[in-house]
Amino acid sequence: MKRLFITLTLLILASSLVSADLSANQIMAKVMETQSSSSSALDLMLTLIDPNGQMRERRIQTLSQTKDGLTSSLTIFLSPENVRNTRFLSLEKEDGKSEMWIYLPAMKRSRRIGSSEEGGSFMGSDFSYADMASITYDEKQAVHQMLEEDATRYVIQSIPYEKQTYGKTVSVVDKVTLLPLRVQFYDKDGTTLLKTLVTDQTDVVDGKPIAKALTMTTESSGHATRLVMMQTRFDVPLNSAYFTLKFLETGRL
Amino acid sequence: MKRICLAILLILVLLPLYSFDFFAEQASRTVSFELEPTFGLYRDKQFHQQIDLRLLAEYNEERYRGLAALTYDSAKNGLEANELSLSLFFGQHALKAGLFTHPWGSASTTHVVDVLQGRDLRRGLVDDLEKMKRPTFMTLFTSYWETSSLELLFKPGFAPSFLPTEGRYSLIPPAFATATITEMETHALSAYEIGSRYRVSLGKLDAGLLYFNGHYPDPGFSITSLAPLSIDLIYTRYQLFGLESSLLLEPFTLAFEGGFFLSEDRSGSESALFNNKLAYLAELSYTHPAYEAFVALAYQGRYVFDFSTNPSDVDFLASYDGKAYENTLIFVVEYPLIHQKLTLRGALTYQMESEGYAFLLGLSYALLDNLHVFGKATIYGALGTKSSLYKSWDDNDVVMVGLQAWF
Repeated sequence: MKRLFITLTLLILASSLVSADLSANQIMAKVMETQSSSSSALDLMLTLIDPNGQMRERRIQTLSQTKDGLTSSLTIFLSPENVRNTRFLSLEKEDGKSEMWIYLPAMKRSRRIGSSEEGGSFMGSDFSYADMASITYDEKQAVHQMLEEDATRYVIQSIPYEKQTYGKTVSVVDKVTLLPLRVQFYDKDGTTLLKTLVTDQTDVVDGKPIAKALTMTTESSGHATRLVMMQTRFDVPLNSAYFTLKFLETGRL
Repeated sequence: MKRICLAILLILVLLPLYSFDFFAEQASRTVSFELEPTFGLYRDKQFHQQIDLRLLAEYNEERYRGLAALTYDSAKNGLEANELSLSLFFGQHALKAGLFTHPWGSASTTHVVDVLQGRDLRRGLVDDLEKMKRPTFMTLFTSYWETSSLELLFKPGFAPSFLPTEGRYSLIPPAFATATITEMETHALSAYEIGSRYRVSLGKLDAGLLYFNGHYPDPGFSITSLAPLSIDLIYTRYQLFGLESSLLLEPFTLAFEGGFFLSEDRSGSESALFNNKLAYLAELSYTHPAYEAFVALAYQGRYVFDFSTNPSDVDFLASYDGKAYENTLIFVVEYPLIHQKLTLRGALTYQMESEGYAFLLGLSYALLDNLHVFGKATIYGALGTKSSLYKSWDDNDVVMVGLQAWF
C-alpha cells in the first residue's frame, strides 16, 4: 500500500526513449526512473469481473508525494457506499519500510496494518497491494534477463531477490514509451503462472505516455479486474497535511 | 413513519450529492439510505420481522462537516438519531459537538475503556460493537501533532445504557416489573462528564493514556418503599485512569487495555453504588497476509474491590456467580472469500465464572455492490446451571436472514 502511488505512477508514466543496446538491468532501471514523479493524484475505477461476466465497481482516489526520497501516500475509497470514506495512509520510513494505517468509518477508528498484508487482495480485486505499488522490479530488487527483443519491444524476465509475493515475472516493455504492455506473474516456484496484466489502453498526459486502462486476470479462477485511470495529475503541489493521522481520521486538512 | 418521511424530505431538499473528491475541490452533500429487512425465528418458535431504514446525510465544507444519521425501526415504529453532529476543523485542531458515539480502546473484539457512551442491549448481542452503543451528547476537541493527538471532551449529562425492562432481552428482575421507578436526572449539568485521551505512536507501538470523570451507564438502585415497591435508580460517579495500546508484531497485533475505576463510593460501603474496580483486556489478533482472514483471541477481566456478598449490593448483582472477579474469553474470526463477495464472521464469548457463552455466526453475500444478503445465528447458553445474562437469554437463540441495500 505504501508504494501505491509511486508505482501507479511507475506504471503509467514513461517518457524517454531507450537506446537499442541497453541491458535488461538498465532497461528496468530506466522504466522505474522515467516513470517516477514527485507527486501524483489519481482518480481510479476498479471493475471486478467475475468469470460469468458479472461486474462490481470500486472508485478510489490516491494521492502520493515523494520528499527526500521518502514516499507518502493516501487512498480514499469513494464507492461503493458501504466502504465510502475508508482511508489508507502509508508513510515510508528511512529504513525503507512503511508504516500504514487504515481508517474504518463504520468503526470510527483507525488501526495500524502490517506491510505483510501487501500480498493480500486490494479491495477484493485481482491486484494485490504490492501490485498496486509496483508491477516491475528495478535493478536492485531483481535479476533481469532479456528473453526476446524485436523492433518494438523487449521481453524481460525478472527474478526478485526477495520472493515475497512472486517468484518470477515476465514483462513485455514497449521500446518507445517504456510502458509495460504485458506482465506475467509466476508463483514462488517460478513455473506456475498466477496472474497476467495487460495494458488495454494508453494515453498521453502532459506529453508523457500513460497506461490508461489495465486488466489483471487471475489464471486459476478466470476472475479479472480492470483498472481505469479516470483522472490523473502529476507533479502537482500537494499539501503535506494529506499524509497525516489527522487527515486519516478526519478527512480534513 | 410521519417523522421519518419529514426527515427524508428535508434531506432530499438539500443540495447535490457529494463525498470527498480531490478533483472536485468543492463543498458537497451526501445523502444515502440503507434498507435492512430482517426475518428471524427464535428458539421458542416466535417469529420476528423487522425493517430498518437508515438515512445518512452529510454536508462537507472545507472547514466544517454536518452529519445526520437516523434510523427508522419498523418494529418500534420509531425514529432514532444515531448521530447528529457538527465538526469544525482549524489548523491542527478539530471540534465536534452533538449527539454521537466516540470509541476509546485499542482492541478489535471488545473493550474495557470504551466508556464514553452507554450500552444498547435492546437487540441482545450483535456482531457490531458500534450498534451496541447508545449515542450521547458531547463536545470533543482534538489536537493533532505529527505522531500524537490529545482529546478533551465534555458531556453535559449522560445517556444511561438502554437496558430493556420488558421483552425477551429484559434484564430487570421480574419483581421489579411493577415497581415505581424514579431515576436521577441524567441530562443536567450536575451530571456532567469530562475526559481526555492522549495518544502517541512510537514505532510499532500505539499507546494512549485516558482519564474520564463520569458515571457508570448501568444503574444501581435503592428501595425506598416495599409496599408498593418503589425504587430509586442511582448512577455511580467514578474516575477512570486508563491506558490503551497496540503493538504490531507482523503478522500479529497485540493489544492491551486497562484501567482503574475510582468510585465515589471509595470504601465500598454503599450497596447502591458500584465499588472501585480494575478492568483489563489483552488481545492477540492475526491477519493472514494473502487471504485477509482475521482471527483474534481476547481475554477480558475485572476485579471489584471491597466486594460484598450482600444480595442487594449492586456489585454482587452485577457479578458472575457472586465473585469479585470476572474472566471472559472472546474468539473472533472474519474471512472474506470469493473476492470479498462472501464474508464469514464468527464470535464466541465464554464467561468463565458463570460458564455462560454466546456464539454469533454470520454469512454475508454481495449480490451487487450495493445489495447484500445475509444469514445470522445467535446462540446463548451456559454449560452449567449458574445464572447469568447468557443463561437467562437461553431462549433467545435465533436464526435470521435479511438483506442490506444501499442507495
